[in-house]
Amino acid sequence: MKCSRRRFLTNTSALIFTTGVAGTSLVSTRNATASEDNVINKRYGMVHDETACIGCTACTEACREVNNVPEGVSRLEILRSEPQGEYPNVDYRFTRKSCQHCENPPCVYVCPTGAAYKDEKTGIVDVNKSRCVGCGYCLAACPYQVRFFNPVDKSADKCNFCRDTNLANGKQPACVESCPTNALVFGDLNDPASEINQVLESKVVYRDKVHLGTKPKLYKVPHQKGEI
Amino acid sequence: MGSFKLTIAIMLKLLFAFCLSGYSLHAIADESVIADKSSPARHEVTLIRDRDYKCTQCHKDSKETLSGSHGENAHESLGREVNCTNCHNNIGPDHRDGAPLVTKFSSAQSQPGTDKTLLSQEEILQNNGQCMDCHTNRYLRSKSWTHDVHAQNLTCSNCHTVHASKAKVLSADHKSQIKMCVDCHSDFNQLKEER
Repeated sequence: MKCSRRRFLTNTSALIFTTGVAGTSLVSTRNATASEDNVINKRYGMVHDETACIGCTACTEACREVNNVPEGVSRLEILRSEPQGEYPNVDYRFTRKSCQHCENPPCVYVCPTGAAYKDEKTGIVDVNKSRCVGCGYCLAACPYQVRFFNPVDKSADKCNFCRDTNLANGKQPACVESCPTNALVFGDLNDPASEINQVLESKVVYRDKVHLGTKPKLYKVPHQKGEI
Repeated sequence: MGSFKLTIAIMLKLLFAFCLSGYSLHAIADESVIADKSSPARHEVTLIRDRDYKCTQCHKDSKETLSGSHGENAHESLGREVNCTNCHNNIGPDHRDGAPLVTKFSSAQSQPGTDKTLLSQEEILQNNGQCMDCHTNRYLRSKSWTHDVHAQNLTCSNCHTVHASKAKVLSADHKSQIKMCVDCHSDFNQLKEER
């Protein structure tokens, strides 16, 4: 009996010791994963493949429809070059002009009311319309010239990757959805498995005005036609 | 003696009356000649035969629909009417038997798509040549840049109807025009991906 009591005590203490350590380690690992989730935010970016773009401007129209952009202004434009070559071998180059969602957004830095902000959870640069006073400082500060005054609500407006519309409904941005040649790829730059990261790894890309230090998140695959 | 004098007097009167009537006749004749000269001198002979008569016996609406696109404007720039055989030449003897020889203007493209006629770029260029004799490259570019990129990839009738005033792309609003691009390009892009 004496022997069995000692054994009982050692066994229980051993049990408590092992389960306790395991339990605390379990809890601690769970905490660790939870804290990682909080730390790693999304960082949305986009790739415009100029070799695939045909300049149909379906993206511009889709954006206008989804985001209720009034006529006369646009969040997204496709710029067409002058004709290249001689008939019948004439070609054009297209490039996208829209918000680059800079990591160092000049528009946000200059906004006096804090209406322009960068959403840290997604990396999207957006405008809080109720705080915008329409001073136009952001329009002047943007090196990409993509901001404009919305003629209806008089506030500064721009692309926000369909944050309130398509993205909120779990869909891709309207421009990406509408593109007939899949020239646009949208996704999380922080997710190594995302399609956008695969495209960025496999293709040569460039960004506009990188020397300004704005760190834009709109990547472009350069067209490979005509003189550069 | 008395009767002799009377006859001479009557003869003189008759001679006088005869001269008067002759003069007046001459005057009337003169006037009528002048009137003739003032009116258009000659009758101009015109060809009243309808060149398209034989065609329009069967293709009843074709002439009417053509006037929508190749009507007065074409007449003005050509200086004459556009006739069926100006474009649809090479009619051939077995025309009523499926018309295998006549020049037709149907949709075709150089890249494979579902339910699309496929032609080589040379063939397309050759087929569009008929239209581009009048609708020159420079004019087409000023109207839309899309003509440039499709010059050897599409026949005109993909986007245009030759026998109508406003049809296909010309009747479409901006959104529907974009839809025409999207429909075609997403179609053959899908085929590319499937391979």
